[in-house]
Amino acid sequence: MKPFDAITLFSALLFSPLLFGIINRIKAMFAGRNGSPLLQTYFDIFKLFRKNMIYGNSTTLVFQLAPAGILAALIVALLLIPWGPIEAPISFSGDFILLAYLLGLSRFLTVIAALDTGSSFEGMGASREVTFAALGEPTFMLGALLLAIHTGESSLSRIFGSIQLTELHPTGTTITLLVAAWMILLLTENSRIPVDDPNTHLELTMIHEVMVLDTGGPLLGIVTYASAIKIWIFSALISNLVFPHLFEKPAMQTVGVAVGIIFVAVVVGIIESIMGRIRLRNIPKLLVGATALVATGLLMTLAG
Amino acid sequence: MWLFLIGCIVIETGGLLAVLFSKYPHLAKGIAVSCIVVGSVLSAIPVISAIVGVSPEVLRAAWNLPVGEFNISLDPLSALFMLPVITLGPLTALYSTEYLKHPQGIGSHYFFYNTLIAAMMLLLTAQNAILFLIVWEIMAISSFFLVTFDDQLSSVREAGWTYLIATHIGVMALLAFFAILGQKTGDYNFNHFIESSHSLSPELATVLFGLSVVGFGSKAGIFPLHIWLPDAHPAAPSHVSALMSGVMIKMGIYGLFRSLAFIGAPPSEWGWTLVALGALASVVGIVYALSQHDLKRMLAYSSVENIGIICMGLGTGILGIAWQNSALSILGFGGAMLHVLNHSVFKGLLFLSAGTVVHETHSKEMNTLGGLLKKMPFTASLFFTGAIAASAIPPFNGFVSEFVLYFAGIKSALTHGIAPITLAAVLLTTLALVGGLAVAAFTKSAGLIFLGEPRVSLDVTPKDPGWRMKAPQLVLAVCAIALGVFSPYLLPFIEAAIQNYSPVMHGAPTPLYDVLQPSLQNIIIVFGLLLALFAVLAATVTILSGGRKSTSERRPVWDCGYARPEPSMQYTPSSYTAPIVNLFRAILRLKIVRIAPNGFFPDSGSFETIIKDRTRESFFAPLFKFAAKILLPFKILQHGHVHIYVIYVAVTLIALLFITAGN
Repeated sequence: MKPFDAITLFSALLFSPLLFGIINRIKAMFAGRNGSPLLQTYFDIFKLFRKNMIYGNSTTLVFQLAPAGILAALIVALLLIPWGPIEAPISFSGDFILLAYLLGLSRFLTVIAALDTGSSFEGMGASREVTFAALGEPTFMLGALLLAIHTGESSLSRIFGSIQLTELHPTGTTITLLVAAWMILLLTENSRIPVDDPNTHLELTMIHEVMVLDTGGPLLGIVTYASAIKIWIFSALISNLVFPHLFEKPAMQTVGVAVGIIFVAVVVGIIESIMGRIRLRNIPKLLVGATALVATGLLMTLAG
Repeated sequence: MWLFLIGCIVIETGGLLAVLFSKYPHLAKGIAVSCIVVGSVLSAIPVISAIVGVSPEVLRAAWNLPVGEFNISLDPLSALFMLPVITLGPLTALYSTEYLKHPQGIGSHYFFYNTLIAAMMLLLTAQNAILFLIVWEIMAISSFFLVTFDDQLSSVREAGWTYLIATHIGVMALLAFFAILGQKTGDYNFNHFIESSHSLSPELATVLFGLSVVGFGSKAGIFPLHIWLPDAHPAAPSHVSALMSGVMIKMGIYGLFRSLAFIGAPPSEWGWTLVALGALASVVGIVYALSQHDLKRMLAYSSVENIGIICMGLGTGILGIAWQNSALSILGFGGAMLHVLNHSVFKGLLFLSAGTVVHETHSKEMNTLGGLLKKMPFTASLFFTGAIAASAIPPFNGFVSEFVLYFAGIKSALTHGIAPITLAAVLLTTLALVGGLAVAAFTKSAGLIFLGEPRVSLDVTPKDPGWRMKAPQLVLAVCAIALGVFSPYLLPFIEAAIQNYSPVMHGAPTPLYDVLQPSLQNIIIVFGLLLALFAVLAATVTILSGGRKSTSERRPVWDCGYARPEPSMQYTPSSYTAPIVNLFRAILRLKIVRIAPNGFFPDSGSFETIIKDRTRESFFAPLFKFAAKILLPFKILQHGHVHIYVIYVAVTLIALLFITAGN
């Protein structure tokens, strides 16, 4: 493993909080405000690490250690993600299954930590999180399967390495469907509008934010950093689908991935600015819709 | 082989001695359990040598019955299925010595316990259909008496009754299965079945396959033949649940594996049947599991889910044979086999930890529990281990076997063609959905029982149990981690076992080991990195928070500023799963009993959700009603007058005489 292979790891560790900054800037632009600095999330995290901890009355060691587990799972997941022409440090046949389950581990720990507080609000958020996550899993897996069939490869690095965006059909259409489906998945998994509103102040309507309602100090810092890494993982996956394949030279492809990640963040910002939240009861329809998009892609691959 | 038989005899002798000494419960317990331990250790030697490939010995003995003979042999397949028996057997037995407090019925309980273990050991080695059926029946009957240990409770008697009926429907199918096979081939030895399996007509083979699915499926709890499981497990004492769910239902899977060798080359329709049944069972099983309030019933439904996953593996394996894709078949069968072992470990662990909760709190009702982690940290951490493994989350063993099945799906998709891709889509979608729902089910049971605050104040103080209940759980938790990490080293043995037992599989050049090895090695590297990183981060967090201990405080959690927060206001297990239950209303039957406070001076109200099993209510209940309606008229024949019964006998004999004379 060459040090450059771990580019996703290092770039995510360094730059992932920037994505929140970009999203907020875009939202501010739409609202005609100046917005917070691009580096605001870094400031927040540093501020949180200097604070003292306040624990809920009934919390235990589970609550205290879960954020470490969440961050560990996500950082390890970064090792599985390729960067355009650069293969991931750990790449093997079926690695996307492990990726999905590492994200599952981080979710399990988030939920467990939320339940440890004994708060009804956190229980409510946890309940919604597991429901929507369960419906999102098939979208990711079927999407990866679609890519595997399409490229004839079975590891993320090889799959992304062999996408050829030269023809409109079937590659172009399949990739388009997949980008749409995974974008919905990104919005759901990272609790963005239209699924969840990260800025809301009403506990009853929140999903992810309510699960960390009683987390504070350095623990909240870790959780915030972890969620930045998570959105980086999803953005990198979507970016890898399209952007490196628009260029010929490997050097340009490498840059393309970074452009793609920023582009995804911009799109998330635009979606947040122009859309409202959909009702909680309609979220399952959105997620099943995303699975249906992938299934359509699968049918098209079979037919064509 | 003699050593193995001696092991069985030692275990059975322990049971008999327990009955003899039932006046002295402690002595009876001690003898029975130590016999199980000694017997298991004795038989472990031949089992392990069979797994590592020492050629199987056959033991045949004269037998005074008209058909059949005493013919046992330990091939690698039997030996792999034997592993859960000889590990969970002694572990659950040790656990039971502390778990069972009342001296009543101890002698007979251990008689049946030891008999069940010995019967399963003989069942796995039986090479003759008649012997197999006899020990199968002994296994069914002894487990029936184990389930009905608390027979003063009517719910327990009812659960036992359901189990007895379900298991005998299975036996009926198995009798037909073996009778037809014996009739066609003229001999009841398994190797004879295998030799003449190619001579069966395809139609007959399909009928036989159907019979084996019903017969073995009712024991394994394949949907929709699972209805006895969710009744029997909560009724039985916890060590019995662990043994039954961890080991006994796998005997059904063993039967399916074994009987595949008797009925010739399988067509793809069989594979599709098992894949479809398995996919349905796993989704239905986990949806029911997460909707239950009863902790042990929830675990029972989770077994239905896992048996579904195993079935999907078997179906994939069969499809691999039918499509002559040997890599697919070995991945399917191998994944199924690995999941059998993994499920034994984590479900055994979960039932034992759940049993500890029941033992300490006298409650199985999740809606009343909560905050147990502070009172029983040991039990809580082991339940969490089991819960993570059962949700197939890395780095525990559940993940590895599901990975093998996912991998089978991907390999299938890469061969192209509509059918393999459909299989891949079914496998991946089902496993992903079931994985997600399993997280919901197990965060619910682990999180809401052990975390937060007690929802109802208990009149007992729960605490961690003594070492005899702790040690077995600890061993199983270590196994759950070890099976996750060392599974690559287990694969060659699984592969050899699958390839050797059936002529259909034989000679297929399928390197399960080679195909999977790179992936599994990388997965284990990731596991290692994950644990190391977690350790570093956790240490950092602890130092960060410990260093400022003087300044860190405890405060009530945010509840919108409500003045009098109470533990009963916490989210309950029913409310936790309400969104998912609502989504799956088509499968579940949700009944809400709600008494609203009424009038000008309302005094009390109540709210209850009841989940009924749709299969039982809408399928089996009408079926049995119908059967009763048809069969009731025949009751005239059974009136209790012995002298008329004698006439029946005489008439039958004379009729037989005429028939024989006529020939």
